[in-house]
Amino acid sequence: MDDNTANQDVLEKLSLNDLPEARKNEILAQLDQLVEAQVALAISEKLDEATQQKLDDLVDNGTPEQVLEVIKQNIPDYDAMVTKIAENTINELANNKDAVLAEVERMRTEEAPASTE
Amino acid sequence: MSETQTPEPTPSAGMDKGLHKLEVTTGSEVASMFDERDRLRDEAAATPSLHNDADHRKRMLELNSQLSGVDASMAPKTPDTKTESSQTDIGGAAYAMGDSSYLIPKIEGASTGSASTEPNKPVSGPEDDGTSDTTSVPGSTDGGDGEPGTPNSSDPAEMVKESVRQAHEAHRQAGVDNGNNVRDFQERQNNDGDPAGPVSDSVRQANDAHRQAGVDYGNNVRDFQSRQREGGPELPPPPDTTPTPEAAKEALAALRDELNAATTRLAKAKDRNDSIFSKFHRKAKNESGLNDQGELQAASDHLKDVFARYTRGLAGVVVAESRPLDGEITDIRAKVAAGDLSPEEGQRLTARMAELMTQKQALAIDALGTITQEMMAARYKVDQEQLALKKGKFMGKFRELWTKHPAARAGISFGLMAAGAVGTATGIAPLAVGSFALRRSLGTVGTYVGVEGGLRKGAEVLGERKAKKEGEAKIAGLTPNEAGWAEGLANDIVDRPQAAGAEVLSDEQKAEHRRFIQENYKELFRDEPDSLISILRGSEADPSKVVNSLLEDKLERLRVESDRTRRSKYVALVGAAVVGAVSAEHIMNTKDTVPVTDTPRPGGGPSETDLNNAFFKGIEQKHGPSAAADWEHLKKMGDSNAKALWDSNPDHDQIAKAFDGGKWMNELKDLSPEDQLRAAKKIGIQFDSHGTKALSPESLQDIVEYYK
Repeated sequence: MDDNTANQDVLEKLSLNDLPEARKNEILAQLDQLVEAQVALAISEKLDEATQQKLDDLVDNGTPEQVLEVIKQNIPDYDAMVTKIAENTINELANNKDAVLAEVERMRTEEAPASTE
Repeated sequence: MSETQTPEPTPSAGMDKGLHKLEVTTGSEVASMFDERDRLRDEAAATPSLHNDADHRKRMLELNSQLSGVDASMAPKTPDTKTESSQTDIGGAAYAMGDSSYLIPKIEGASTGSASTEPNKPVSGPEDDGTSDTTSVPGSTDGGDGEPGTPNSSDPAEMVKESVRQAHEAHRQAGVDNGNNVRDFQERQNNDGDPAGPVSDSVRQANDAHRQAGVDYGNNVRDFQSRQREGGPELPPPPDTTPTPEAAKEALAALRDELNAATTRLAKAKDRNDSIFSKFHRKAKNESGLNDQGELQAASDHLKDVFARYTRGLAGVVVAESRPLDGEITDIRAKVAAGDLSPEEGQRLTARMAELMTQKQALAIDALGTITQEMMAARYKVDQEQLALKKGKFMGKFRELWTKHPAARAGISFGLMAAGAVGTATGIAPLAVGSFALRRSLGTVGTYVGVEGGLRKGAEVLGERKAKKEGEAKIAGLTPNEAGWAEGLANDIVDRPQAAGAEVLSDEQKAEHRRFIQENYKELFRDEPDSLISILRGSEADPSKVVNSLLEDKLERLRVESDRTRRSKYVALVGAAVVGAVSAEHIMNTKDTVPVTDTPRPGGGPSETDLNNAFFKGIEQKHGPSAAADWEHLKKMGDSNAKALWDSNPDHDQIAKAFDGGKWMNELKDLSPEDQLRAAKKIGIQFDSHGTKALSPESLQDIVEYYK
């Protein structure tokens, strides 16, 4: 699955495919940023101080591969963890979306019951 | 609550008050009062009816008042031998009796967080026995303090928030910020042994003011939450107000500010919880840890509450902005229902209707985008603030890494891709659904959720199908109004004057056209607002030609459509339309009900055998040999049915997914060929809207059962 297809799937899950392209890209970037922060938080919680310090040094002086290697050495299920974080984030947004839609419909129905008869 | 608003009680003044209490009692009397209060607490815990016993409560209040100045400094340190749950029960009972040492944590548990003033006293839990001394009346106009009270808002969340606001106001009037003071007390107690009398006294003052204000927001929160959880009696309905779009937006802006504050509070709570927990972990694990946990929970609940109100506010904006559109739509429907429209007027109204529906859909989708972004922003802000507070350097490094070396983000992209592929919209507790009940919407609104935005919930679709089976709706997926509208439109199309020389349609042909238009009304009108306009404006008088022309247009658009999702939507639509059109064609030309001959297709093209071979080849290519083997049973169903499915939806990948590797194909084999097509079409559309995971076996079964 390529990035574009994955993005389309995410947007479809959030029912946002009909938004203008610019808005969709904005949302995807925001989602990316959100997941990134949550992944970073999860990493920080799983690593001890010494390993964090080691990563600090690697960011300054090492390569991305070395950084990832350290992360994966200390978090063996790193890929699955990232996937789960992303999945949970998307699902939470999707569930909220459903709740919002339900509320819109409820308010609409309560406001004008006669018009829906 | 801002710490800068908090008048700091001076130790000397507080000490005076505390000593004043001590002056009138001897040590033994104090001990006796403690014993008596403990006994009353135990009695209250064991006998809930005592909560309503005036004498019992009066005595408890007296004891609390008398002991309030010495609680912290002289309270006997009894061994903590009880379990946390039993402590919570006792705490709840004591709270109900007006014990300030419990009341504050209880209040704070609902709002701002606090610490117990007694080392061995637990923080009251979130549950309450419901017998609290609640003198407030939600929605009352006077809290009993002579000040204007809660406005007559009937919105439960608003009532809770209003009582929270009153409580805060009462605390402010009492000159205390209990959360801050209690924390100060905690620090003083731990750092320099400063008596907590001033704090305890100010807490008592706050509680008195709180009671005078006639509110118990903690209880209100619990009442509201428990009623929602238990599906109990509904709170009063929302007020009959119809805010203007401007007013709704103004309210939303205020809620936006509140949302910002709530996210900041939660971030701070998370950080404070960590830092204090680590600082006092060893010697005060149960007390300090729980209290800050309480604040964390309260902040989290608060954010949920604010976010729920924010989303409701946004929903209000959508409703307010679409109100004029709804009104005009209603007017148009009334005109159509009344009949006697000229063709020109019918065209004009149809065009206008399409415009209105498009505008409504745009509003709904825009709101969805907004709320999605707000949800992400709120969550991100919490994460970022928390990270900035405690992991700033480390996280800064990560941001630097990902900025400097995008390749290192491969895992994240992978995660998003995988989530996009396999994620389901279930199982995760939503942030927003706390305060407005999804249950209520599902239970009372009816069959649609955001249907005009193209979004419906699977459960409601199922309910709709069942209603249809019971004869409550004549046309699948349509409300009675929509059904009437579709019927009128179908009549307009079929009965309109035909061009000279055109074949005169038989009643059977007309009926078939009506059926096709009605059954596809929603798909046509919702997904392609101009479809029906095209039909009405078509130069060809023969409806079948008009429909086919429409299909050709759609197919052409399919070829140039690059958006995969929109493409699949059109595929489903075209698949549905092809079924109707081909079926109509055969009714007109051959009287056969199903186009299933092994002859070249009308207008040329491959034979049915070739189609089937290509069909299975496509399955194999896309899903592997095992999937193709699963689909072998299709052949057992007969080539005609395989071809029918081919015709119903040319996106074979989608068919394979929708039918779960052939499982549901087997279910369809007992249906008539025509119903197989219809069921396939419905499943295809459902799949397209909800995805395989969301389309449960029950959903599929329901569709199949319906067509049986």
